[in-house]
Amino acid sequence: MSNGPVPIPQALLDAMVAHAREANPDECCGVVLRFPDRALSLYRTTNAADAAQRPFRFDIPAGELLHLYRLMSEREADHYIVYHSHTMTEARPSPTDLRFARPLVGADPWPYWLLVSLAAEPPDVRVWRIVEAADDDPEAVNGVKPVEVGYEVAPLPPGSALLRLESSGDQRRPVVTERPLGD
Amino acid sequence: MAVKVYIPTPFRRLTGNRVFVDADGSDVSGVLQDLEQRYPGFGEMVFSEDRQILSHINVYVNNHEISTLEGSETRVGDGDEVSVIPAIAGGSVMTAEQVDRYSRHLIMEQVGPMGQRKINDGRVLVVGAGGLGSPVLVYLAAAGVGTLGIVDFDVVDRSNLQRQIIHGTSDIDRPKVESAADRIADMNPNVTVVKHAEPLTSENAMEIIPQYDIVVNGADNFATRYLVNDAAFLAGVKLVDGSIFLFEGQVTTFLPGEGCYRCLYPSPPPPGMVPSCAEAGVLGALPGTVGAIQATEALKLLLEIGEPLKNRLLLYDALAMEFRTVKIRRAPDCPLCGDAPTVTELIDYEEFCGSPFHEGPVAQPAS
Repeated sequence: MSNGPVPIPQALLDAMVAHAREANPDECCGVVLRFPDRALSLYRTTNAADAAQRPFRFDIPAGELLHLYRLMSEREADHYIVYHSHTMTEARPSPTDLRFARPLVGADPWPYWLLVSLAAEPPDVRVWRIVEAADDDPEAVNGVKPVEVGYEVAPLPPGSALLRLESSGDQRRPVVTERPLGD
Repeated sequence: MAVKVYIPTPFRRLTGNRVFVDADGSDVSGVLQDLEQRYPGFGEMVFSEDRQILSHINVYVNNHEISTLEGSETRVGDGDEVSVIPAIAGGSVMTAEQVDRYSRHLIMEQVGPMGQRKINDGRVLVVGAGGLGSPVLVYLAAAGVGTLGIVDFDVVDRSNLQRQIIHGTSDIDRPKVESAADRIADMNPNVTVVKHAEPLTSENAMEIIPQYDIVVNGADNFATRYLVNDAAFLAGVKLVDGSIFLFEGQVTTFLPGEGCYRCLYPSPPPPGMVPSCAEAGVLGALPGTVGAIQATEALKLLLEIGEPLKNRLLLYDALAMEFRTVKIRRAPDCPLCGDAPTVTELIDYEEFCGSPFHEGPVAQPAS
């Protein structure tokens, strides 16, 4: 994980913004994996937060995460980006985001956090690392803080894909399927 | 019993980057405790201080989440596969405070989070922080209107307190914009108040009014009422007009190009003919009713729901306790919004109304 701008193809940026708009007024969420051949796959995931909370909360279902983690293991993919939207507020990790991210910080590799804000038009996209912070750091929430790294538009690597994950059956005994976006 | 445990990437640094590790135990709890023994740091990632599995940690046995089985007492045996998956979750800074504060809006189908966002993004100018302005400001601030402009150059007088509910006894002699801003800050710190502590005039109206989506008029004199009407039309800003007198009130909403105050009242009454509230009086609760209707209209306009009170004049008679609406319509010969307008910029409203600006026996509609 570097501190420089993160290369992201325009097609992926567009897909994340489109996802945010489609999910509005709920928050959207998803993941981008990077494979050893540099191909990128964007996965729209389900927002499994309670319906009433979804405008302010996202929660990627554990079954979909399990699917993604297994995919990462099998295909030696990196967990490149976690993205979600803020419908009313800026594209900066909120205290809620930081609290949820806390247990995971320090993992290597650990994804960049990309936020799409619909509070601006056109929507604002910002990319962050979440790092450990000293308790007396004024930006620290629960021992971590966001550091903006930004992004730069990069070419779309061959073999990249835009996908959605769907969970069917009982959420707790999910059958997760991948479908191409637009299917 | 030896089971295979799948370790997701976030935890793999604890297991020497191994994807699968072996662990012993006869149930999930035993397996996790064994992992805690083998891999320093694993325990604090998974267990709370009182030894419960943390709520954001999901544990699966052969792809079944353990809460659908027998929780941490779920039995495991040779060949079973256990997965420990930390949640990826978060959310925006509509804080718990805001979710609480606006919860009655958020649960309404017609408002909801998107509607609340429209309210939060709304910019409303309230002309006059008096009898009408008080309830208008109080309700719009409570609802979360993001920016509230207040035009008033007056100070709080004891005689205002019989009806001007945004001010208190301790505010006497304070500028009304200051007193109102303090009350709003206490009610809802999410609201930004823009204080215009000056009379609205032909010189400043076109600077102030275009900054807003909606003007709510609680002016107490005809000169200001015509000025606000003309400036709102010329700026393309929606106007919710209200007036009160003794036991009676009037409310209407003007959308630019769909009629205006001049269509309704082409010219002001002769100076002195209609006494002001200061001269004739007004029932204390009356502005509450009329102002609350104006605030309701403003919220509907921000939310873009319902039928605005356009092309209708609502007449309220408190003594009879009757509401009536009369139809009004855009006048083709209106000098402002008609087919051949003659008023194309702001004029001298003191001269137009034949009265000293903001003073004297000006007018009927009043606060």
